[in-house]
Amino acid sequence: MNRVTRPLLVQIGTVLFFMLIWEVIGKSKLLFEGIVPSIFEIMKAAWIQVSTGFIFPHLLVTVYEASAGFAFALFFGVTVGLLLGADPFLRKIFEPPILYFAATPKIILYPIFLMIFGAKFESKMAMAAVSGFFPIVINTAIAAANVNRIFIKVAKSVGASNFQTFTRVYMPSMLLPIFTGMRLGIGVSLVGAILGELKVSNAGLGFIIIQAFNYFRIPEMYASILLTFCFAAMVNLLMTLVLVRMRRFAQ
Amino acid sequence: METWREKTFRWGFFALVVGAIEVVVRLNLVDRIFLTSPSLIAVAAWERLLSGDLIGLLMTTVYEAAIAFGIAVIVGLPAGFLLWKYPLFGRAYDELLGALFASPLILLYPIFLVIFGRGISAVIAMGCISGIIPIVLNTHQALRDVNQTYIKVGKSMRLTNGQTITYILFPAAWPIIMGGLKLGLTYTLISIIALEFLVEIGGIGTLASKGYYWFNTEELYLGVVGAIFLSMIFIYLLGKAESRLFSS
Repeated sequence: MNRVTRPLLVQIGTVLFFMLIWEVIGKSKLLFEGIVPSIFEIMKAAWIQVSTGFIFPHLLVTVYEASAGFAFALFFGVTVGLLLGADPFLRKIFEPPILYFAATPKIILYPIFLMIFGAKFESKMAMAAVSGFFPIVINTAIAAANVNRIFIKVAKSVGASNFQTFTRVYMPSMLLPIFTGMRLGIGVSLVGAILGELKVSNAGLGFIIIQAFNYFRIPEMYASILLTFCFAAMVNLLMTLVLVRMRRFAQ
Repeated sequence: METWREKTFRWGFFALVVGAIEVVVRLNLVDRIFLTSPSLIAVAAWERLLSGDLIGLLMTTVYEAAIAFGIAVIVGLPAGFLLWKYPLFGRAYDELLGALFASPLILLYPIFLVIFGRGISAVIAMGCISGIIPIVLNTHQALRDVNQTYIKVGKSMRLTNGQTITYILFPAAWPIIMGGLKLGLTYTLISIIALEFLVEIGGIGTLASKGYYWFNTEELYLGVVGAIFLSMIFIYLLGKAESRLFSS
């Protein structure tokens, strides 16, 4: 037993223990009938959703909304972040309010987006855009402010234009922190879009979860939530792998 | 320290935005359904303040957050301590909790609705779960980071275990624990307001939802602004509490 396998055993044991408790509670009829379905039933429902292809159109809708929103978040986040990072005065004025807004629940803005953009895709894109904006703008602003001033002075002294300074000095040294912001941003964009779907929608992962809830098809609801979590974890894992790759490349 | 110039610019900017919205709405450049003027929102807020239901909604949210956060602290601090005390479990659960912390926990809310019923206990449970993870993780981290020399010095002075904990361990770990509490309360409040809005139960978050369904634009914006203000006030107070604690 070494340092790696023992914690792993504890982790597996804990997960199995919780599954067992779940099964016991489900069987014991302590809670309302059907509220805690057996794990096998949930797995079966998940398998049906995947194997019949039922979930994929909804997954596609969510991905479409989240990625379109995220594109806006990336563009505005990087632009505003660069402005704030490059100008200390602007940063002093706008950074505190941005940090305050970043810690508020963005979903509360959703009814405004519903009013303006309607109940279809656009309102979820707006949710994804607003959610993803904050981690990106904060990371970009910090990154831009931390660019080594000596590099900038050197660039100026060898006669680099503003554009050249940007592409040759700012960009390379900001790539990693911006990507860190993107990794966080893509996650919250996804959650923003799904939360929007849970409230008002007619397609998407959030929609099938809340649909199953409304018709009390509880195993299907758990299955959809499980698959949504798996998808979110996959996206997160992918971004982390890319980030690790970039770190290694940067060194 | 912030200069008055920065403050003037910041507040001037926001005043300008609010003023611009007021003018745009008053000139009927946008449909009143989409956007309402800040003055009308203020009137709606004033009426609801007088009737007392705005205070009631805000207090409901604060009450939910207080209970959820209270439970999160009561469970989270000892849990973090136990993880530090038993390093094997500490290593194992740090990874599990970290994975949970990175996952979109708020999406679990239909499960809470199913298990706790459609009431404020579901909201409190959701808020508690969201807040507890950063508290556990930070407490564990904080205790691990305590300089071992302090503990050895304590041992050489023959402190009992209890004395070591109260006089050495917690004072040394306090700043990082405080960071965890701050993060925990922020997450609790975000989840609570989000859930209030999503399922229309509880406090201030319900107002925005009701305003949307009844096409009452003033109510909608009042709910949005109220929820954002409430969370900002919380964060502001947390910042104050933190600087007060560490300046003394």
